[in-house]
Amino acid sequence: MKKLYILILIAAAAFFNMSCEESVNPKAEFKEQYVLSCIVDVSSDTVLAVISKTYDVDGLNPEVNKVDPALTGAEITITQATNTFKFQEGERLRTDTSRYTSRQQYYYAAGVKFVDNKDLRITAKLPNGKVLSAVTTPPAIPEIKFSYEFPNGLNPTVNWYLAGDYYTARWYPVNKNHFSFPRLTIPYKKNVDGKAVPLRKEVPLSYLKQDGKFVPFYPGATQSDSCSFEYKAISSALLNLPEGDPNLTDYILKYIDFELLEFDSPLTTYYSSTNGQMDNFSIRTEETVYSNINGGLGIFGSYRKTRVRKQLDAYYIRTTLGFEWDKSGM
Amino acid sequence: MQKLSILSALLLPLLFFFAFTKTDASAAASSGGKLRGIVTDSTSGEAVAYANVYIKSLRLGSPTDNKGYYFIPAIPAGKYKIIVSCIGFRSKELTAEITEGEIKQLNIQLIPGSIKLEEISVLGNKSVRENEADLGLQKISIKEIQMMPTGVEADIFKVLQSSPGVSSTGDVTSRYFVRGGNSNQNLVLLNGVTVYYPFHALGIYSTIDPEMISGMEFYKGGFGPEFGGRLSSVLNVLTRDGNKNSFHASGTAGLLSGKASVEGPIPGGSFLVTGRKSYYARALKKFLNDQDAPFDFYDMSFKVNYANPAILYNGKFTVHGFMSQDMVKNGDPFKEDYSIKNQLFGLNWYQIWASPLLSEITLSSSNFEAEVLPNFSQSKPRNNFVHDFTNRFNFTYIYDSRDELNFGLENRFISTGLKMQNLYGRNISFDQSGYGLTGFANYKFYRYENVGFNLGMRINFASISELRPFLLEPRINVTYKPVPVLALKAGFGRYSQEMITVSNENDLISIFEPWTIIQPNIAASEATQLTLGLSYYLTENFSVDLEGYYKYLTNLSEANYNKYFVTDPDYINVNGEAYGFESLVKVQTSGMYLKTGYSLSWSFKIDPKGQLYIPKYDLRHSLNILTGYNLGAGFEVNATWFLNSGLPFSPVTGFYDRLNINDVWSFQDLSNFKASTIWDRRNLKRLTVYHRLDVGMSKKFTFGFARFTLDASIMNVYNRKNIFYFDRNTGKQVNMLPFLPSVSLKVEL
Repeated sequence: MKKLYILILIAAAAFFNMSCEESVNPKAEFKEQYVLSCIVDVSSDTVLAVISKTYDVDGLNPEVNKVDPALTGAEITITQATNTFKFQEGERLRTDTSRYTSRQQYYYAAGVKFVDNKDLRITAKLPNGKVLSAVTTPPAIPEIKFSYEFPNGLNPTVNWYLAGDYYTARWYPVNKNHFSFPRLTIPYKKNVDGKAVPLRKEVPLSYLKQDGKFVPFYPGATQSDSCSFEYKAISSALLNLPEGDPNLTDYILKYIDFELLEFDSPLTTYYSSTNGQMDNFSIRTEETVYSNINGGLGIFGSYRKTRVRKQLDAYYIRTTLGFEWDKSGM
Repeated sequence: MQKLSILSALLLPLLFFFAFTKTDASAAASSGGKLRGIVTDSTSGEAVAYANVYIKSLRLGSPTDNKGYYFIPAIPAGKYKIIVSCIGFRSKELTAEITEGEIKQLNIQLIPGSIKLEEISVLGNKSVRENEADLGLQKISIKEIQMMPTGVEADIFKVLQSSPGVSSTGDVTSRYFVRGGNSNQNLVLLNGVTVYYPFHALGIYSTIDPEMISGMEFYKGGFGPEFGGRLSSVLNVLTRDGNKNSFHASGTAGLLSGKASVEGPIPGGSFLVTGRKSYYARALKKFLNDQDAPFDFYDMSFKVNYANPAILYNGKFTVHGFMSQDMVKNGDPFKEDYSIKNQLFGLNWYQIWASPLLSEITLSSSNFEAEVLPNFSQSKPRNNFVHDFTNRFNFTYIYDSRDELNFGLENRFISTGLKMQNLYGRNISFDQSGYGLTGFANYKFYRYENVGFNLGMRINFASISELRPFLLEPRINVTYKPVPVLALKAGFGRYSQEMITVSNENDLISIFEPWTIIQPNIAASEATQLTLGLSYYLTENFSVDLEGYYKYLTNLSEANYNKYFVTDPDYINVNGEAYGFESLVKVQTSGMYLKTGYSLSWSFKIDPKGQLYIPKYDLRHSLNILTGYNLGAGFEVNATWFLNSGLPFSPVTGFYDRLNINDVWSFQDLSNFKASTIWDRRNLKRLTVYHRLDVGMSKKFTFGFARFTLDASIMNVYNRKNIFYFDRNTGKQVNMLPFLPSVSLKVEL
C-alpha cells in the first residue's frame, strides 16, 4: 500500500510535468475607434488638436506599431458662447521619431480668444461622418498672495522673526476638482562666450535625506490652496546655481518667479488616471484611462498659467552670493 | 429608541436566563437520566472539539461542542458502555451508570494518536448526531490543517481554499471567495471576535498562526442565526487553552518567520502565549513577481483560562488577546510606507448550569487600523480605522426530547473612519459610528431519529447602518434520513451586511482594504440563499457530500472606481447572482486520508447600467485533491493537487496613442503621445486552466529531552506556469508561484 501510494504520487507529478505551459490569447476582436486630443491654454491665442485612430498589433506591445495612426481631413471647431473658431490642418517634424518617422499631422486654430467662466465646446466631424465632441470649463483667474512681502526684494536669509521658515504662496479660489501645479523658479542669464544665455532653475520645496544624501523635493500636483518653500531650500538653490563654476559674475539675475498652473476638471482627471498610482505594491490588472470625448477616446481640457514675479534682494545677490545683478531686467 | 434598545439588550438575556435555568430539584424531575461532561486531551488537558460520545446499545449520542462539552438527555436508567472517538485520538470505551432523574457528569480524557493519521475514529467522518441539520458546515480540526503541505508558511486559509465552493484569485494570495461572494463577505472570528484584516504581507498569508488554534468551524452558507453581518461565509477559529498538565515551550524556524509558544498550567487553569515574527521577507520575492518589499510583520496571541469548581462549578473564564501588525518601511522619503494593525481582546464566561442550560457571555473589542503614508512619493494617502466593541449573551437549552434551543443577544458599538484619495485624486472621507442590537433564536429539532431541523430567526432591533434592508432574517435547515446511510439536506436563509470594504475588485494584490459602515444613503447589502444537499456514507470511513446552491445578492456596495469628480458617488450598488454544485468525497483508512472536492459554479454581477459581468473570482470548475499517508517511523507524507478553470480577465481590444503628460510645464505642444491599451468588456475571457501539485513530508523525532518536527514541502512540484495576469503596461505574462521548496524545524520542550 505504501509503495503504491508513493508510486501514484510520482506518476502524477510526472504526468503533469509533461504539459506545464499553455498559452491563451489575451486579445478580443479589434474594434476601431477615434481619438481626439486637444488642450486649451486659455491665455494663448493658438489651440492645437490631434486626431488619430485606434490600431492593433501582433502581441500585446503597442510600441511595435510603426504606422502613424493620425487622421486628417476632419472638420474641427471650438466654440465659446457665440464665438466659433475653425481649425486648420498642419504638419511638422516630430521631436520623437522612435515610433513614427513621418511628419506629425495636427490641427490648429490661430487667433483664438477666450473669456472666463464660459464653457468651451469642441466638435470634430470626421471624413467618415462620425462626430467627436466634448465640453470643458476653463479655470478662473486666481488671486495669489505671499506669506511675507520683502521691502528690499526676496532674501532667504532673512530673520525668521519676520518671515518664518517658509515662503508660502496662497491662491484663491480653489476648485476641489482641479489640480494645481505651483513652482518657484529663478530666471537668470549666464555669460557664455560673451553672450548672455537665458536659463531657469527650479527651486525645491525642501531637501530630503535619501541614502545619506540630500536630494531636492519639488512640488507636484496639489488640491491645496497653498505651497510653502523652505527659505533654506531657496537659499541652497541660489547658492548651487553655478554648480561648482567659480566664475560667479557670469551669472546674472534679478527675479524669482512663482508660477501656478491650474488644470480644469477633465484635464485633472485625465492627468491623474495616466500619471497616478495607488502605491508600488498593489497589482491592478486593468485601469481605464479617463476620456471625456463623446463618440470616441481622448481628452479635451484646458489650463491656466499664472506667473507672479518677485524681485530678489540686490545686496544679497551681489554681496552675499557674488552674482551679477541684472540691470536690464528680464 | 436607542435607550429602549440598550435597556432590552441588558434585560432580555436575564429574562431568558431565569426562564430556562432550573434548580437541581426541577432537573431531577425530568424523565430518564442524563449524561454530560467534557472531553479533554489526556496529555494537555485541552478540550477536544467535535469528538463523538456514543451509547452504542441505545444508538444515542452527542458530539462535543467547540469547548469539548457533550450532553445526552433522556437515557433510561441502567449501566451503559460509552464509546468516545475523535480523529487524531485513540478511541476510548468506558462504562457509566445512569440513574433516573439525575445528571451524570462524566469527564473523559482521550489519548492522542502518536502520529496525525494513526487513529481513526469509530464513526469516521460521521457525526454521532446523524440528524444534525448542518448543511454547509465544515468542521476542520488542527489535525486536518497539519495534513496540508506547509509551503513557506503554514496557513489556515489555504486549507479553506481546498474546500469545494471556495475559490481564490491566485496562489500568491490567501484571500478566499465563497460561493460567488466577494472576499469581504466572509466573516472571520477568532474565539468569536471579528478579525477585520486576517492577512499578513499583502494578503499572502493569514495572520492566524495554526500553532495557536485547536480547530475551525467553517460555514460556507446556510449559517445559523447566531452569526450575522456577512453575506457569504463564517469562519470561527478557536484557539487552544494551553497545556493544563505541564509547562511546554516550542520554537519553529521557517524561511519567512520564526515563532515561539509557551504554555502551561496555572492554579485552576492554563495559559498559552504565542508569537510570530518575520525575519526574511525576501522569501516572499517569488510571491511578488521578484519585487523586493521590506515587509516586517508580527502576530502574537495569549489566552488564560480559569476554572475553579470551588468557586463556580462547571464554569470557565477565559481572557484572550491577539495582536498583529504588518509594516513596510522603505526608509526612503520618496517611497510610501504602510502599516496595518489588528488588536483583539476578549473576555468569556462559559457556564454549564445544573439544569441542561449552557451559557456563554462574551465581551470583546476588535480594533483595526490601516494607513498608507505616501511620504513624498506619488502614492495616494489613505487611512482607516474600525473600533468594534461587542458583547454577546448566548444560551443553549437542551430538552429531554433532545431538542435544543439556542438563543441570545448581541450588542455592537462600531465606529469607522476612512480618509483616502482615489486614483483620480478625488478625496473620500467618511466617519460613522453605529449601535447594533440583534437577537436570535434557533430551535433545533433532534427528537426524531430520521429528521432534524433548525428553525432560526435573527432579529435586528437596531442597526449599525441607517438603511438596513429588513428586520427579520430567517434561517432554516432541514435534514432527512430515509435510510441510515443517506441524509438529504436543505437550507434557506436571508443575510445582511452593514460593514463593507472599499476595495477594487481588479486588485489582485492590494495593500489597503479599508472597512467602513455602509453610508447613510445606501441600503445595506442583502442575500437570500437556498441550498440542497445530501450526505452518503458508503462505509463509516467513506463519505460523499453533494450540495447545490442558489444565492441572490442585492445592494452590493462597490467602490466607485470611476469617481472622476468630487460630486460623483463613492459607491455604486451592484446586484449579483450565484449558483453551483459541489461534491466532497472523504476516505479515511488506518494511516491514509483522502479528500476530493469538486465544484461547478456560476456567479454574475449586474452593474447600475444593467450590464452583466463575471466577477474576477468566478471559477467554473474546481477540483481539489488532498491526501496524507503515514509511512511509519515518524514519517508522514502529504500532497494536494488543484485543478481549476482559468480565472476571468478583460481582454485587449486594441491600442491607441494617448497624450502623455510627463511634464506639466511642457506638454502643450501635443508632441508627446504614449501607446495605451483598450480593454474589452470586463472579464470576458478566461486564463488557461490552473493546476498545481504541492507535496510535503514531516518527520518527528526525539533528541535528548526535546521533540523535533522537520517539515519539508515543495509548492508547484512540476513547475506549472499558471498565469496570474497580463501586465497592463507591457502586456507581459506574469505567472503565479514557480517550483518553490521550503523547510521548517519545530522544537518542543
